[in-house]
Amino acid sequence: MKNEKYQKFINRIRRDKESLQNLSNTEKENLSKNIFEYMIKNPIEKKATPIKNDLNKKYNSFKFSLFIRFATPAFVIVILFGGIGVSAAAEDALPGDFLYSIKIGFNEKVRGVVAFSNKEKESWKLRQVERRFEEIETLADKGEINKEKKEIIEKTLNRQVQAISIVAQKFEENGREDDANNVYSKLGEIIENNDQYLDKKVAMLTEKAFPTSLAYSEDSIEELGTGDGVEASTMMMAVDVDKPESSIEERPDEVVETKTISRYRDNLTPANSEGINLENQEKIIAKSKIVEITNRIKTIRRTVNKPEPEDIWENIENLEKEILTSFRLNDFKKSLEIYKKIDQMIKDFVNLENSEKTEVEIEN
Amino acid sequence: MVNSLEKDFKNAYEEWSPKIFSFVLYKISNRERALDITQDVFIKSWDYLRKGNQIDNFQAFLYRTASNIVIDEYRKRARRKEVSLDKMTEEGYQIKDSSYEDVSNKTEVSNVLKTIDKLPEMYREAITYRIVEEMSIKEIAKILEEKPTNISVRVHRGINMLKAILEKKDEE
Repeated sequence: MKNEKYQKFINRIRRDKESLQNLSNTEKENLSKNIFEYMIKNPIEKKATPIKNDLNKKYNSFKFSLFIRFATPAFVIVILFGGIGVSAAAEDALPGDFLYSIKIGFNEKVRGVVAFSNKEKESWKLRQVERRFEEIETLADKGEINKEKKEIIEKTLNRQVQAISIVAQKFEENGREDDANNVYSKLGEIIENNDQYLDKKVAMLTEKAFPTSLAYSEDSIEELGTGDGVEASTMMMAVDVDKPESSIEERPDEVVETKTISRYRDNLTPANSEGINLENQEKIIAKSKIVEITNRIKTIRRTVNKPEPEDIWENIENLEKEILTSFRLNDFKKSLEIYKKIDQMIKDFVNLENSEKTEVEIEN
Repeated sequence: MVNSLEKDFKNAYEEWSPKIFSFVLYKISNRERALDITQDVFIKSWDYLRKGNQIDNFQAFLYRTASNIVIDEYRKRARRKEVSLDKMTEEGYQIKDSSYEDVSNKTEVSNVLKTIDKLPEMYREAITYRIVEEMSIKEIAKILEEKPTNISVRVHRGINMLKAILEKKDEE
């Protein structure tokens, strides 16, 4: 019913726009005359440079398509497969596209390698996760999500979230709590943002993509012990936070086996010989969720003077204490159970807050 | 180089002027003012370019400029309205408040568009670009200089709020 009204509303806007708002030829002529006269009276100053951007992207693409049509196929192949061209073209590739593996396996790895500081590497890893979500969004917009594409994104997203989790975990091990929290918080933010807009179909995909990393489900912890862990190459992608930032050797991540990675290997459990051990996984998930939820609570405290209804808010605050206690006691499963409760309560709380605001807006 | 810039600008003008006009007209509901503002948008953009500044995304730049001018226009109207309302109140008139009220007789904007105006500013902007201008999330993100993920959230929440408003409106 709601959707029906909304659709009618949209159709009406479109109709109004089409029928009422077009710029007439006379209006456009007058406008052009005034603007072009102004351009003549106020010419370009010497230092002006051409527009760098996509101003004429359309026209350039048109010219390029003509060129492609008439150039000899062999020449086109040389251009298209000429290294930089391929790499640039691959940037817009989506799962299932011919160039997608170049985007993931070459472009993104190179960008990871050329990131100079730990900070840049960390940002890039977070950005990679965002890029996967953007791909999901684009595919969803185009209605092109299928099983094969889902699997490609799942695999890549999973690997990348794992890499970030390892970075955060290493920060923690080295007593850099703030840095670790920062990573968890940013990752939580990305997932939170995307969880909110993804439709059911895509949300299921996201949920499925996270069992070995962040998104918690009853089954996910069970799955962690079945060997579906992080790949050795992914562990090698992690930043070595043992060393001070300035002394980190900037070599391709894949060929550097750091002391930390060796330590991870030593920690592997026999049942999960290719992954991080189960306890660490649970701890990462629980920690990230706690950081995310406490940040959300902080935001509400900051933005709402007197959170109401008081009883709901009191429950949230009590559960916040409980979740921290369970984490200190290493009861990560309990932490995650409490997380789910708080999450639901915050959602209800925010919905209530939003609906009240909307009501106030409507009344005004 | 100089000719090329002029040519690029004229091409861009041909392509974007109808869209910018439509965007402004929707926002201010006054055709003559919308024409003036569209002209201002392109003149300001030209001034910016001819002084040697670079524009990375011309579409985003035009919409941002248009949006800023429209906000100024709102402020001017609000000031004018305040002055006239003060006077009217002193004289004992009842005040009715609506952002479209003062131009309602001249406007072509349909009543349904007022509904969007009820959304909080943050959502209204994103929704206007998405629904009225039919832009993609990425285009909106460039204009508002935000991350696409944030814009997606705003659009999603804005649509939900819009649905709630429509529902409520019918109940009334």
